[in-house]
Amino acid sequence: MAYVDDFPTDARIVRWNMAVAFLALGVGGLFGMVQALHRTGVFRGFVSSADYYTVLTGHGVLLALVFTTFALAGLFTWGVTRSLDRSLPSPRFSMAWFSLMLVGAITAAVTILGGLVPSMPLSADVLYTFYAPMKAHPLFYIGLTLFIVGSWLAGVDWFRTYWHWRGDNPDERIPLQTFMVLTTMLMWYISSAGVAVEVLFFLLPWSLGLIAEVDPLLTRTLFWYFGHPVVYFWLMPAYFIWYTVLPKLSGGRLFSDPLARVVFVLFLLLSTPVGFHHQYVDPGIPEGFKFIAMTNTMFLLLPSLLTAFTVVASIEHGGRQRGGEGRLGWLRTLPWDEPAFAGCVLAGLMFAAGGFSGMINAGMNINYLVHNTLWVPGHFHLTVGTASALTFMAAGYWLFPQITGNRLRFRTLATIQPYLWFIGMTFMSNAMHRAGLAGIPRRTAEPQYDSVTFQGVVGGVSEMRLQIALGGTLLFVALLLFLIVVFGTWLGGDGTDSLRVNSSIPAPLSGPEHSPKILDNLKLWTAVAIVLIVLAYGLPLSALVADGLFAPGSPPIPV
Amino acid sequence: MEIHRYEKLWTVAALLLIVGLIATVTYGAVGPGVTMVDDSGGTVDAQSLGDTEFSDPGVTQVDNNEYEVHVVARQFLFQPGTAEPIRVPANSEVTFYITAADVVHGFELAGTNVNTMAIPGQVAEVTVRFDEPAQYGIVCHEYCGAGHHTMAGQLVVVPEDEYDTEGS
Amino acid sequence: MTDATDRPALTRRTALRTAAGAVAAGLGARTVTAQGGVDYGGWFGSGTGGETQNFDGTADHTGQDSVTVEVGAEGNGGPYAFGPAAIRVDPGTSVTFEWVSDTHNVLIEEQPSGADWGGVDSIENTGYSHEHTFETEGVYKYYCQPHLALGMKGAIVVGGSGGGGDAGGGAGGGGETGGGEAGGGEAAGGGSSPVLSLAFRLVGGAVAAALAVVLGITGWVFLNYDEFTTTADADTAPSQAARTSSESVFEAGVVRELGHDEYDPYGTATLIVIYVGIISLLWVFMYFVEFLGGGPTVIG
Ligand code: HEM
Ligand SMILES: [Cu+2]
Ligand SMILES: [Cu+2]
Repeated sequence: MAYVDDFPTDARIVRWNMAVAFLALGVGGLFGMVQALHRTGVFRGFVSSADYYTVLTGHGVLLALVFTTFALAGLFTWGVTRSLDRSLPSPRFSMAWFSLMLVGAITAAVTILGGLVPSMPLSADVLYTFYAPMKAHPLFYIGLTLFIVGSWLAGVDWFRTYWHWRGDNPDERIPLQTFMVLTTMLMWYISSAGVAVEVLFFLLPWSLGLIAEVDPLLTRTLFWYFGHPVVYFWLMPAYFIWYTVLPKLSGGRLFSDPLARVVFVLFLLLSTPVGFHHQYVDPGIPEGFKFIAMTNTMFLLLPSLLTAFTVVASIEHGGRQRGGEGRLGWLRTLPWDEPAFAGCVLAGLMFAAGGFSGMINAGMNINYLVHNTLWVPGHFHLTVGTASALTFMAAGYWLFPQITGNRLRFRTLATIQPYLWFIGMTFMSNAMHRAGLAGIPRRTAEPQYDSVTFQGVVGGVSEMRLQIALGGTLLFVALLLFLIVVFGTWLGGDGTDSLRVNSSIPAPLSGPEHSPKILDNLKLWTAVAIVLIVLAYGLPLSALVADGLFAPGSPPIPV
Repeated sequence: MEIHRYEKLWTVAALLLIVGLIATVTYGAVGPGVTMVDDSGGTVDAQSLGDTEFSDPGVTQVDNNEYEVHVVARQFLFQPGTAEPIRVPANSEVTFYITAADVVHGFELAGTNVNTMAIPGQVAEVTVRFDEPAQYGIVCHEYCGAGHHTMAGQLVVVPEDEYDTEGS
Repeated sequence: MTDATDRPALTRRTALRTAAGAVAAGLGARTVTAQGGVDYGGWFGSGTGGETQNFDGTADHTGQDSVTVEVGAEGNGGPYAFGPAAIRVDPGTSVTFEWVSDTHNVLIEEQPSGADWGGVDSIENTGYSHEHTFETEGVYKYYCQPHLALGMKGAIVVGGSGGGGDAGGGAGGGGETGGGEAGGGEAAGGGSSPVLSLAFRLVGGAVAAALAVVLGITGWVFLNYDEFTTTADADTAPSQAARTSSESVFEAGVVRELGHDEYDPYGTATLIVIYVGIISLLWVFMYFVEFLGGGPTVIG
C-alpha cells in the first residue's frame, strides 16, 4: 500500500512537481550563497555588483515563487488523492497545468538569467517584486502569468477531484487534508487576482509599449494585495504537513481536528485584507488604512498561535505514547534521528522565532525601525526560508520513498541535514536581524558606504558579516546534502524496495465530528473573505484610481 | 465544538497578546506621537519636477526653528544629500518632502527611525525633530538599478549657533 | 590578447545597447577611432565601478584647439556616458565639458603629476559647462560619481604619451556586437571573475537548452499520455505485501496508546507559557528601548 502502488499516475505528478521544486531550490540556494558572500564582502568574485541584482532576482523568483508553488502542488496532489482515496480525474488535465507552470517558470527564469548573458537580449533585473517603473523584458511578465494560470488550473484539478468525491459521499465531512487544500486554494484565487490584474492590465501592456505610463503606487498596491497572502500560500502547505503528517511522525495523533479547520478558515478570511502592512512607510496611503491593516494583521497571528499549541500538543502526545514521562521528559523520546521528524520540528522552532520578528514588522510604527533593512530577510528566511523550505525537505524525506517505491538512500547525510540547515540559518538569520537594527539595507550588493557608518546595537558589523557569510555557506552545503539524498533515492532504485514508511495517518484525538458542520461551508467563508477585502481595500483603491488609472504616471525604465 | 480547556485558555491568552500588541502601537502613536507617512504630501508629476517645488531642492527656513527640506531621489543620488550634505541646525523641527524622479527609491537615516519610501508621483512628507548636533548617513534602501549600492548621502545637524554663520 | 574574444561575452547588456552606447553623440562625425594603443590599466573595465560600455577606443582629436565632451550622453543604459569616453588631444587643447542631461559631476581619478585639473565636484544639470586647458602630457582618468556604478567613466590622453604599441585590438571591432570594446587595448577589469562569469554563461545556455528539452519532452508526453501512464504490469509490480509495513518506523516506537481523555498536554502548556514570556519581554525591549528610545523619529 505504498502510495506509488495505489496511485501510480498521481505519484508521477507528485514526483515531477517535487523534482522541479527541489531543482529550483538547488539553483536558488546557490544564488543565495553567492549573495551572502558578495554583500558581506567576503568574496566578490562570482559576479559584478551590477549583476548581483540579476542573481537576487533569480533567488527571489526561483525560491519564493517557483520552489514553493511546485512543492505545494506536489504535496497537495498527494494530500487530495490520499485523503479522498481517489485519483485526480484526468491525467491529461494534470499534465496540462504542470506543463503550463513549468513553461511559465522556465520562461521567467531564462529571462532573468539572460541578464547575465550579453548575447541574449533578455533581462529582468527587477527583483521578485518587479515594482514599476522598473521594467523587465515582457517575457518575464508572460512567464509569470503562465505560471500563475497553471497554479489556478491545479486548484481546479483538486476541486474537481473533491466534487467527484462529494458526489459519492454526500454526507461525509471533508477529509482534513482536502479541507486544507481547498481553503488554501480559495485564498490563492482571491489574492492572486490582484497580481493578475497588475500584470495583465498594467505591466504587460506597458512593457510592450501599448500603454505609455502606469501609476507606480497603484501597481505596488496591487502587488501587495497579493504579496501578503502569498506568504501564507508558502506557509499553509507547511502547516498542512505539521497538522496531518507530523503527529504521525512523532508517534502520536493530531490533538484537534476542529481547531485545524478553524485555523485554515481564519487564514482564508484574514490573509488578504492586510497587504497594506507592507506599505506602512509608503507615501500616498492614509494612515487610517494602515492602522486597519495592522489590526487585521495582528489578528492573523491568532491562527498561527493556535497552530503552535495544537501541533506541539500532538508532538507531546507522540512523545508520551513513545514512553515519555514528566513535564518535558517526552521531548527526549521523540525520534530525533529521523530526518523527516527532525526537519519538521526544527522548522517549527525557527518559525517560532520568525513569528516574533514578524510581530515587529507588523507593528505599524515600529516598522520604521526595520523597514527594508536586512532585518526583513532575516525574518523571512526563518519563515519561508526555513519553516516552509525545511518542512518541504523533511516531507520529501518521508514522501520520496512512497512516490518512487525506493527506500531513502544516504540515510546518514539525511539525518544530519536538518541540523546543518538549522545551524546555518541560526548564524545567517540572527546576524541579519541585528544588522537590520543597525540600519544596514537589504537588496544591496555592497552595503558599505563612504558617507554612512553603521553602528551595531548588539555586536559589531564585521562580526555580523562573517556570520552571514558562514551561515549562507553552511546552508548551501545542507542543500547539497538534501539534493543528494532525494535524487539518490529517486534514481538509486528500481521502485521495488520494501519501505520503512507508509501513508496511513492515524485518526485525530478529537475528530471532525466534534466541530459544527458550518466549518465546512466553503461558500460562506469565501463570501465573508470577499466582504472583508472590500472593506479593507475598497476605499484606498478607489482613492488611488480617482485621479485616473494611469496617473500619476511613469514611463517604463529598463534596468 | 469540543475544545480542550488548555486550548480555550490559550486562545484567550493569544487574544490578549494580540490586543496588547495593538495597544502598544496605539500608545506609540498617541503618547510619543509617532505618526506614519501618509497622503498629506500630495502628488507631483515625476516627469516634470522642474515645474514644481522640487525644481530647486534644498533646505528652506519657514519659521524660527522650523525648516523644510525638499529632496529628490534619482538614480543614484539624493539632491541634496549626496553631492553636498543636507545641513540643518540642532534643536529644530524639520519637514522633509521626498519624491523620486525615476524609479522607486528609499530614504533612511541610518540608526534612526526616519525611514520612508520615495515613489515617483508621490511626495512623502516626514517631520522630524533634531535636538542634538549629529551626523547621519542617508541610505537608499530600495533597489533602484545597477548602481543602487552607491546611492547614499549625509545629513548633518550642526550646532544651532554655528548654523547661521554658515549662511546656508 | 586573448581577451579580445572573451570580453564581449563578459559584458552584460552590451548587445542591447551597443548602438546607443557607441555613438559619441555630436562628435561622431569627427571621431577617428584610434583603436588600441592606449593602456588605461583596466579603467574602463569593471574594476572601478561598472564597465564602461560606451568606450570604443580613443577618439583622436589631435590637431584641434578645442574639443567638446558631452556629460550625460546616451550610453551605459541611459544618459550615463561621457561622449566620447576617451579622447586624445594635443597639449594645450581646451576641452569643454557640456552637460546634456541632469545630475552628473566630473571627479578625477588620476592625472599626470604636475597637472592641475580640478574637475567638477558639485552635481550639475543640463546646460552647465566646464572648460579646462590640458597642458601636461599624460593620461587623465575621470568619472561621474553618482553613475560610476553604471560605468560613467572617461579618459583624456594628452599628447603622444600613454600610447603603447598597437595591441592589434582593432580586429575585435568587427562584426561582433560589443566587439568594439574589446578592441580598445583595454585590459580586463579585475572585478568579476572570468571563470565564474563563464560558468554563468554556461548555466544560462544550459537553462535555455533545458527549456527546449523540457518543452519537447512535455509535449511528447502530453501527446502520448495514455501509453505513458499505464501502470506497470501486475507481475513486475511488487506485491503489496512485499512493501507494506503495516507499522512504519514511526509507529514502531510507540509503547502505549493514550486516548483523548487520558491525555493533558501540560508539557505543551509549559513550553507555550515560556514562549509567550520570552516574546513579550522581547517586544517590550524592542518597542520601548530600541524603537522609542532610539534616534529621531517621525512625528508628523
Ligand atoms: C542556501 C540558502 C539561502 C541563502 C544562503 C540565502 C541568502 C539570502 C540573502 C543573503 C539574501 C539577501 C540579499 C539582499 O537583500 O541583498 C536573500 C534574500 C532572499 N531570500 Fe534567501 N537564502 C537562502 C534560501 C532561501 C530560501 C529557501 C528562500 C525561500 C524559499 C529564500 C528566499 C529569499 C527571498 C524571497 C529573498 C528576498 C529577495 C529580494 O529582496 O528581492 N532564500 N537570501
Ligand atoms: Cu535608489
Ligand atoms: Cu552621471
